[in-house]
Amino acid sequence: MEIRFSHVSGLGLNDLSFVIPKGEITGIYGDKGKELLTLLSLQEESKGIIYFNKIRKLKRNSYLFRKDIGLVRERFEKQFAIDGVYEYFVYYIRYHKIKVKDVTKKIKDAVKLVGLSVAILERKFSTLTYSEEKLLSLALALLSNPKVLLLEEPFRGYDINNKKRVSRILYKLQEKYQKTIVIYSSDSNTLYQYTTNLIVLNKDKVVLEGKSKDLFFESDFFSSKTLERPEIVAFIRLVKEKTGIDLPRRADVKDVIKDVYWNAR
Amino acid sequence: MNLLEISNLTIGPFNKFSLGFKANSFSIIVGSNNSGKTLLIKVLSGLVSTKNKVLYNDKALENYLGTALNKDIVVILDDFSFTFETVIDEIRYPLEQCEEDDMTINKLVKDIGKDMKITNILNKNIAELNFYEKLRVVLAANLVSSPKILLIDDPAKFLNRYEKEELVSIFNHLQTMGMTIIMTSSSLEETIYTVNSTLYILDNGKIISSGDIFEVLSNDSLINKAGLELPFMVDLSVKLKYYNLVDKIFLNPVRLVDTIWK
Repeated sequence: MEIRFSHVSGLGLNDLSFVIPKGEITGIYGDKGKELLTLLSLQEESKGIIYFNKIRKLKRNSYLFRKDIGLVRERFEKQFAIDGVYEYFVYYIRYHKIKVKDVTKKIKDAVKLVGLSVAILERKFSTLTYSEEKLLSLALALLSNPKVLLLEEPFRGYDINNKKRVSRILYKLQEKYQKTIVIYSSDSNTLYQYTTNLIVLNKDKVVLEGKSKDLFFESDFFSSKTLERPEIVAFIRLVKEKTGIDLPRRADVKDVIKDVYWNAR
Repeated sequence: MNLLEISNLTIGPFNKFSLGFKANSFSIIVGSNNSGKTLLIKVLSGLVSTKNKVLYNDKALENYLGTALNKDIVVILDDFSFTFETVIDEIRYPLEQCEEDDMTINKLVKDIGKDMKITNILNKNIAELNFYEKLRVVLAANLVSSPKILLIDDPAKFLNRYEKEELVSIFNHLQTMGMTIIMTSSSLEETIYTVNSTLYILDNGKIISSGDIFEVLSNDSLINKAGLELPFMVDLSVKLKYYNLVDKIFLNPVRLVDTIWK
């Protein structure tokens, strides 16, 4: 689903105009990124014009779009006072009126998809670790098969294996199922690594919109504490500036090291 | 002698696990998800009962329940709860419970406010604060009564780079004032900003490496095997060392480039 904002204001953000393309991973960078995710989720009122797949969102039809949007916050906050993991999933399906043929199978598949063992369904939320809870919150959001997935800091707090797992899931959702994925992160390294498009906010405005790689390499906007250039990009630019050597625009440190080796005699 | 010590503990992922912490040390325990970090903090603080497997001053922690445990050892987990509306009331509360006089309380609150760099928010409403500010309010309220040991579970998880750097410098400052600090982390990023600290790598209930920060970080394959990522500049330096392009770890990219392309 393509999302287009035209002169939208709300939650302290002003006059936002941008396009989030369908079937790609778009990053949001900048102080008020969390608020922008909330506006995108249609959970809060905003002024201005919003299109989903070229259809204008109005008051009376907005529920139709809201249904297609899944929002996953950085920290999972339980919506219902149920401690058993399996019971929680069952209640979630019922509350959100998600159409499911075989509930148990659906829940087991969702848990397996995020790389957890089905044994976790027997446990209680109060015994889960941070990463287990975070993975489960992604599994919950995927139950309703949303067309748009809005993710707040989806990688923070994970080790290498969980980062790889979550990135594999996101790439699959994007490539195979053409989902629109939006990631907010306060870490430019994360956005550089996982997103293809980027929307950059400064104070209450959109200041940049385009391909993540191009913007991070070419824009002069990234020179403050709140808007930083990714470390790998800063390094490649530094090498160019000091030695005149043009290293390729890599995403992985390992590749940069090889490039440095070949260029340092 | 160790100030705090685990001896031969078997619980969760830990099997016959022993580990000691010296007085006035700053220990950072880094591990992947589910490696046992939170459990370790709970065990060390006495929140999880271990039947005399944790020793404080060579005596089982159980001997101190209710007395020294309240005073000497504070533990901060990652869910904060506050009793009062304003920062200053929250920090005053533990001292008021100890029936200190008002003048002493005011002085101690002022001092801890300075140490935690929250002097400018003392009169604010806690609800208006961001995560990093709340974290320092929790620290202030816990440390204002001068405990001996601070146990803290992954405080840097939700912080940006600059906040991480400042937080560990605050801990380094506490260490110079005589405190013993044991913190866990899910990332190695903040370790490089510390001085005079010991790094432990926890992997599924086992300490697989420990010692000086940069010595531990130099073993990149072990770090990766534990599911952890090296900070960018460390990673770059360590790998370029293999190619004999540099001979030490550089944290400053300009110096690294100058060294490679002399």
